[in-house]
This record gives sequence, C-alpha cells and structure tokens, in this order.
Amino acid sequence: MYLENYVRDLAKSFYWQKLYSSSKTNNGIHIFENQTNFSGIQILFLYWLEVYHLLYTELSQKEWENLNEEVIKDNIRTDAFLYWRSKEQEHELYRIKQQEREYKAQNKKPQRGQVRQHQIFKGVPKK
Amino acid sequence: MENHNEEVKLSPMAEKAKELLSTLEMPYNDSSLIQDNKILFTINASLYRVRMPSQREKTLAEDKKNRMYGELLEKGGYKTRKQLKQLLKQNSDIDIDQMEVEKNTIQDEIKNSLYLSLATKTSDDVETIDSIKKKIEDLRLKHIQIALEISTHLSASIEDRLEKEFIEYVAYLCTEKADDKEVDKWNPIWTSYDEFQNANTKVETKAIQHTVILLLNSRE
Repeated sequence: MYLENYVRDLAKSFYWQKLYSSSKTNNGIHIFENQTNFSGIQILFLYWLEVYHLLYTELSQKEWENLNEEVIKDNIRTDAFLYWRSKEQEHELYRIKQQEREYKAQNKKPQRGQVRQHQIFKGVPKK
Repeated sequence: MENHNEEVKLSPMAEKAKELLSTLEMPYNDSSLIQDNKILFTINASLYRVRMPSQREKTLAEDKKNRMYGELLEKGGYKTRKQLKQLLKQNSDIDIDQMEVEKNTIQDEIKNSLYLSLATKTSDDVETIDSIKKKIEDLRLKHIQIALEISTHLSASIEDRLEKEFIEYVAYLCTEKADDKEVDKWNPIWTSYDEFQNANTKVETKAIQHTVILLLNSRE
C-alpha cells in the first residue's frame, strides 16, 4: 500500500507529469536513466503516469462534473472516480451496442415490395 | 576586502524562482526507487545496490527454480497450494476458498457500493466523504488481513517455495557492493549461493526486500 502511494504521489506531481508529456512529444527526453529492462516498480510508475496524465487532460477539458483537483490529490477518491468512470463508459458502450443492434434489426426486415440486395445477384436457382 | 561569509541577498523574483525550483526538485530527490532499474542502500557505512537481472540471470534463476521443483517432487511430502488447501480444510477446519470468497466480497463492497457513492459526492460534502473514506480504509485493512492470513497458511506450498527460491536467487546474483577505491565499480558480495543462504546479516534481508520491489509484477 505504502509503495503504491509513493509511486502515485510521484506520478501525479507536476515535475513528472511535465517530464512525461515532454517525453511523449520529444524523443530526446527520457523518463528513466535506463531505456530497457524496466523494473516492476518502474512499470507500475508508468501505468500511474498515464492514468494521471489522462485525468489531468480530462480535468482541463472539464469532461466530468465530479472530477476536480481535490479528487486527484486524494488517492481513495481517485480510485472511486476511476471505478465510477469505467462503469459509466461500460454503460455508454452497452447503450451504443444496443442502438446498433436495434438499428440492424430494423434494417433486416424487408419492406413490402423491397428486394434484398443479395437477391439481385442470386442468379437462377439450380434445378 | 570582500566578506565571503556574508549571505547573498536574492531579489524577490529570484527568491520566488528558488522556491519554485525547490518544489520541482523535491519529487526528483525522492524518486530514487524509480529513476533507474537499481536500488541503492547503505549498511554500516557501506554502499550496496540491487539491480534488475539481465535476461541471462533471469534464465539462471528460472533454472534454479525448476531444479528445486524436481528436488521437491523427488523428496516427496511437499504439497501444492491446491493440496494444502484441502488438507487445511480437512484437518484444521481452515477454509481458504471461503476466505477467498470473503476477500472478493469485501472488494465488491468497496467497488460497487462505496466507490460509486464516493465518486458522485461533491467536494464540499466533507463529512460524508470522510465517513465513506473511513469505511473504505477499514474494509481495505480487513482485505489485507485476510490476504496475509491466506498467504501465511499457503507459504509452505510448492508454488510459494519456488517463488521464494527465484527471488532469493535473483537477490544473490544481482546484489553488489560499491568498490572502496574505484568510483562506480560494483563487486559481487557472495562467492556462492550457499554462502548467501548461510549468511546472517542485514544485507541479505535488504537485498531480498529490494528484489521484490524491483521485480513486482514485471514477470507476469
């Protein structure tokens, strides 16, 4: 728990966020001294760098009403927000898929007098 | 004559810049665990480091683990996690599967009830936020306690012994001591794995702890 908090506090800091954004656009800027063979804690740190990078981006775009600086500062509130957001996104995805299914189902039913596209190319049935 | 002891007076702008720099530098100074794939530590004024294993060293450690697996099977009497779970249930009335269920239930309660409730609270609702956070912290503690209990019961299993062997072998291979004379030169500490296993100093304990931090989930 302590280690994760240590990694998260570093990852959300201005210094590391700035370095991370710069490294994304400038190939000459590296986050770590080593470029390969990352340690487990470095991989964990990279994960949280990206999570906080996204959170700060969404915060600046005011994407979510319940995301603010105080939420980001507090690890428990951030965890809660991340879970809530994943559920919201799941619901949204489900809603879109449901709409797609309904749309496809409606379009499958041929209207009276309407010829299905594949019937045009069907050719003469074999006797 | 110039007085070298006199403190240099900074302009207000420079003071501000210094303050800003110190806040920027602070996390950097505290980032020793992540800045590279090595962890430094000192014991009795000597400097040591644990580094990430190379591919060859990982293979050696895997090989060591596999050999131990063969030895345990040959000796007999050792149990897998699954077998140990059954034995604990039959003989000691300790139900690990039930404990796992309990752990998952706690996790579900944290996520599906408390997280969803906390996430929708506005920051000015301090009292409710604090109360939910307290509940989450209590449940997390309970979760950790159960996880620790499970891990203690299963620590004698073949899988856990093999994992321990892997970590200890990496610690043996990758812990080095700074050379007394040459800067940036690191020397191995133990001449053999037996020597590492039989040694009883703080260095081995620290080496194992740091190896765990370095490896974390990187092997998955």
